[in-house]
Amino acid sequence: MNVSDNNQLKEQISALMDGECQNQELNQTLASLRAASHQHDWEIYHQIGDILNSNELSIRLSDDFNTRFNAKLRDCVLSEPDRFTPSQKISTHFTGKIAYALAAMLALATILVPQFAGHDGAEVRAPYIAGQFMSANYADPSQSSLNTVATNKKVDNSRSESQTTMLRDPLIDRYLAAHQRYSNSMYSAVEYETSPIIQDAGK
Amino acid sequence: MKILFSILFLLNFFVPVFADESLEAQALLQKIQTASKQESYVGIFVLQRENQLIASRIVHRYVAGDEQEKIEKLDGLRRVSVRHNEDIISYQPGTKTLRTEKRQTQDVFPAVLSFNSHSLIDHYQLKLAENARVAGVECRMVTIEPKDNIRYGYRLCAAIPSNLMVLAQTIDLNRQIVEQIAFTSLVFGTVDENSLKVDFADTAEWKTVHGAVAVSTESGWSVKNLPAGFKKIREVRRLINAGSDGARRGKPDDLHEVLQMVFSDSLASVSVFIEPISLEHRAGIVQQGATTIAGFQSGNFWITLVGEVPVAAIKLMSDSIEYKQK
Repeated sequence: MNVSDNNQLKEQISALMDGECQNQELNQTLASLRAASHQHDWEIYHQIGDILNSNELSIRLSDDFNTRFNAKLRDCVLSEPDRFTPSQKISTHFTGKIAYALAAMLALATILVPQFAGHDGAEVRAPYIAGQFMSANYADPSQSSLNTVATNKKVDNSRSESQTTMLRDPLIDRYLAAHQRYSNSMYSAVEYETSPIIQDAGK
Repeated sequence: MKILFSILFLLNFFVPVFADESLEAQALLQKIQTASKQESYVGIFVLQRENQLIASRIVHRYVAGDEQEKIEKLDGLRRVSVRHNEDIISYQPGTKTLRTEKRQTQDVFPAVLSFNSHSLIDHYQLKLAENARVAGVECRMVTIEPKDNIRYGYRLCAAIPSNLMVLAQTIDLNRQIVEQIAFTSLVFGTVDENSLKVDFADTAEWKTVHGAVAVSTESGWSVKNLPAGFKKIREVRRLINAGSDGARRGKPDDLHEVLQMVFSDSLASVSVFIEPISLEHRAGIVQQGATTIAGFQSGNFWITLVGEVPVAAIKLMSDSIEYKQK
């Protein structure tokens, strides 16, 4: 590492202390703190900061203060339960859980089914709420895709309805956007529109 | 015996033809991937998803290994993204927000496969179809048909001779198009560097947000029954917020931490989001274009699945999400 790199890292460490470290530099800066020399910089900068704040903070800490403090901090962190660790056994049974939530959803939902002409005259299918067919057709998973199609046709017949609104959970957009950003979806070039409800709230 | 001999003779004749066709189609997919990076072009592409038509203007420039791209959304909220190799800056003039981030995925249209999957042909049948014409450009059509009913098929068309993908369609099991994206105008050739610049004057006053940092993790959560050919390609802990424009960023209650596992068969992918319940969610399952979204509660966790797969695949996965002590 040359001198300018070293100075740049020192500047980044100082910026990190001030909460001004850029995201892009964060990983590099944190990694640099593993080196004893940069750890020393980190401690010295804090001492300087403390003394600038108040002369009373100009005290010499015992030599092993940092070691003991780090050990205690590590114990605290390790003993804290992980947010993603379940306290009870998890078993997921999608159909049962959803079917019942759907009853409520379907009572409210109306379906939007516009259609476009696709390439070579094929039709582009419109969105539908799959719950429409869950209870009736979902019993045999091996058949479910065929059922999806059959149900589509059923939904298609209803498209003459003039009122076209689809009720959906506005929270869905955040998952769609998150999926798009980290998955290998071809269509990600066009980001999902945030639903109007969320845009309004953001203003 | 004579008939059997004839059949064997004919098979001998046809099988290599099919095999060659599949190999040629596979090679074409790789060429599409390379072309998306190495061609220079200006065009407009339109995404058709359910009741939405969204047009975007793309300028792509490749000079001596250096890749620059500008994509401007022409419909709905204005958004301009400028990419220089892996660094992306997105401008959202509506909210005066500027977002910087690293590119996370390399198979966004007009690219398709960011990693070469040898197992692709185990689950899809690749064939070359008749040439087509898209945006005034002659293109070679490749059809990718699923061998089972838990994934969609695709039709991709690669421009002749550049191999840039000019059309991509997702086809369901009833051979209906559920989502498609296609160029409506396209010009190849040298691209002026100035056309990659953005014309917002006052960006210094804009709010800058940095793409949320995702941390790789092995949480102990898993999906036991994956559709054949699907593998976990990443597992991260990250903060997600309301929409991708970062407009509400800064309100702590609007960011929440989720565990995201992404599974893919190299064409389609499914994200599984797991989080302790903190928000009021609505359980159910919805399809939007090719994307199926399901949300449900399990114990004290809220689980959301999002993927460009049929409902059957989502169901298979969501029935088998489990946690094992690390």
